[in-house]
Amino acid sequence: MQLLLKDIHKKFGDKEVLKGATFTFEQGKIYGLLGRNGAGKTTLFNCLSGEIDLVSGESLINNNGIVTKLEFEDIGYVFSSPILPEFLTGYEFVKFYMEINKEKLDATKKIEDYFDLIKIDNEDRHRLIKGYSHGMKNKIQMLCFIIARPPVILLDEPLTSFDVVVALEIKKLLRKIKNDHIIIFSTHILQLATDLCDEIVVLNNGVLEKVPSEALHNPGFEEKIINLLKD
Amino acid sequence: MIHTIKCIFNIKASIGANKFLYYFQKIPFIGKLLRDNYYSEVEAKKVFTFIVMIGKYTISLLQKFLYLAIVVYLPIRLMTEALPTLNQTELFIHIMFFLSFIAASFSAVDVLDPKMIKYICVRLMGISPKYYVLSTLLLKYVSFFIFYTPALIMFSILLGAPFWWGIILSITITSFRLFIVSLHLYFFDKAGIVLNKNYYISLPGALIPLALAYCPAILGKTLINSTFLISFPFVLISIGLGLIGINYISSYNKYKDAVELATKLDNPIYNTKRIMSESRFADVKMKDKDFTQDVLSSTNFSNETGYNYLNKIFFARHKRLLYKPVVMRIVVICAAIVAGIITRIVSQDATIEAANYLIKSLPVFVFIMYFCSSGEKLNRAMFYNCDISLLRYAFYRNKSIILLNFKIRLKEVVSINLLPAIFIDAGIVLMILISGIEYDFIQLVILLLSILCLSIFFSVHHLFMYYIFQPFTIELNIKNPFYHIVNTIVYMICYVCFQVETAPALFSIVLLIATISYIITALLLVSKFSYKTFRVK
Repeated sequence: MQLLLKDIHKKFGDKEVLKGATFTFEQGKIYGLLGRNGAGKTTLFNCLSGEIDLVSGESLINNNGIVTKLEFEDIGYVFSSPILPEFLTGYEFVKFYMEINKEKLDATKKIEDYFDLIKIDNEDRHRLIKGYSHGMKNKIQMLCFIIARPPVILLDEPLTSFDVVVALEIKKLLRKIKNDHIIIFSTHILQLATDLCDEIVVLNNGVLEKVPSEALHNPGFEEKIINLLKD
Repeated sequence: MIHTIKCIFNIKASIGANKFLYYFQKIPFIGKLLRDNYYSEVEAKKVFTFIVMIGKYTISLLQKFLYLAIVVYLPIRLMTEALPTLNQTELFIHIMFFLSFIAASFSAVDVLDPKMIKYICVRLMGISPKYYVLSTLLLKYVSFFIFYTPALIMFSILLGAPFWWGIILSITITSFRLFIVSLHLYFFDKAGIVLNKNYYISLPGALIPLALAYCPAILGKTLINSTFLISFPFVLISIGLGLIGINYISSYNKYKDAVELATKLDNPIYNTKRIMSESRFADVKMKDKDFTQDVLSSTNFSNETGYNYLNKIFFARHKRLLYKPVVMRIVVICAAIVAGIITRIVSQDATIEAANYLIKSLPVFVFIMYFCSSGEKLNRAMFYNCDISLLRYAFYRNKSIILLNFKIRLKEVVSINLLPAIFIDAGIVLMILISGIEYDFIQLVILLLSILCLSIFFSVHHLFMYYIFQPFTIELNIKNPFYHIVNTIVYMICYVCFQVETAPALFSIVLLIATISYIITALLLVSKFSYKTFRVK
């Protein structure tokens, strides 16, 4: 399975943020999308998920030779600031989410199993999301893609809000599920990208550029990236 | 010092000019004339800055005139008209003393107040607190004197005093005020209190002189007269106090503490944007007391699934929000019914007339029902508490899901809005029965059903508007002009209905057809377009 981005353009007013972003993402890999503040990482994600409309270009899914348009349902999107309906308890939200994704569920898992997986204890499950911490809300968002298992998972700066212990858990979790998905992970923290990701893609001046993976752990890699981002 | 004054002036001017540019750009059509690059056009901006500053100073000058006209001149004219024995010149002196010398000492001294500009200059730009305070005081009281003098001269003459009284007043008030500023600083230094923020002191300090300024005059007396206020000793004492004040102010060494206290970040004034939007959220926001343990227990809803489950929980947990407008309307309706009953007791003729009018006045009820259906508030509550978050998820924006949700909500909204309609129906029946008039039974039934029909019509209308325009932004502003236009048109149609006179049966049939076709159209349009329009903008 591949995710193909072809010549994606996006403008805000007169400012062109994406200037023909083109890339092929492969299943089984975690991609680190690296870019400076304001480079357009979130914009790219929002375009893919249908949050905002493109000016031109297309995004496609290639599933063993069958190429289809990337549909919103194919995407699990974890926002950098989690957005959840606050009037529900965590439990109710997950129950609701499971019901509307009935046909995608892993039949062996029950709602309690999911909460155990992300380590939210029984008492917290039945509290209103309104009172959840940022990290807990983010965990619930992660559950959404664990439950619905969409082919493409977009994570917008997710680990920055977790404490070290949770961040490690989530990293392990992402590595565990990566074989079935295309995971793209946006960050501006270089170390996080090199640490977790199999590939690094740089978003600079509105286009996507791959950083050769063999260079990832070479000395001098950081300078190289910095030079790339500086132009 | 001069440098600091220049800096503060420049910062204020830049802020003023940028605000002007920003809001000018918001004006439809002509706003586009100013492009963003004007922010960086130094020369053009100087012109703006100049215009803005001229405008600002003109306004402060006019304010002084306006202030004296409203709080001094007009009351004096009114009082002397009522009590011709009062001497308006003496009254002028009396009121000026209590307002400008005494009350203003508590209410008009802001040297220790938190202010955005103070925060910007001292905390962000690093201007020395002492220089900042001294510069602003200098600017403030020089301009105070310059602007107050002409206004005082004019009103002195208008109230029959010689013009130089105005000058004397301006000098003594400014001097006295400077002394008061030093007293505020003194109290802050010695006792750590900010006088005008200590409401036990500042409220009586401002209100008692206010009462003294007007009350004795109403009784025909003045407590302070010109032989005291416009006298050589008083002027001398005032100027002396002013000089003591200036001396104290310029040698004061606690400005750092004072400014630090006034620029603490947790002060709400530094977050005005948040406060403003929060007030807009307040009436659609859940309160913790809305979530009693009973409401929270999930088992109540466990036999529901999917979107029904979601909506059941939503409507159960937002009862207070959703029903509050309805309850208020019902209270008004009940009050009208009670008034009707009292009328019946007082006069049967009036009741008969009212009942005869009611049964024939279906078109009027179009207008009444327009106001009796809550729409926008329900929409806002749904948007802010539910859709704003769920609309971020692709599954929620799915065509068929939007339609499904629309139908579920339509049922709920209709049932909420039918409540006042039922009360109105009951009221009409009651009025007709107690009036004892003879009435056409069919006509009454048509009226009652039509009112229910209208209630459904407006429920559909409001919810449809929400789904097809989704006019709210994240800050709950309404941004979509079409939303306003369509709403205005509907309002106008209702208003026109108010004026028409037709046969009730015909009117009801038209109404019924209109309601049914609106429901069908709404469902069709929502299913066709809402996946594009029902978004977070």
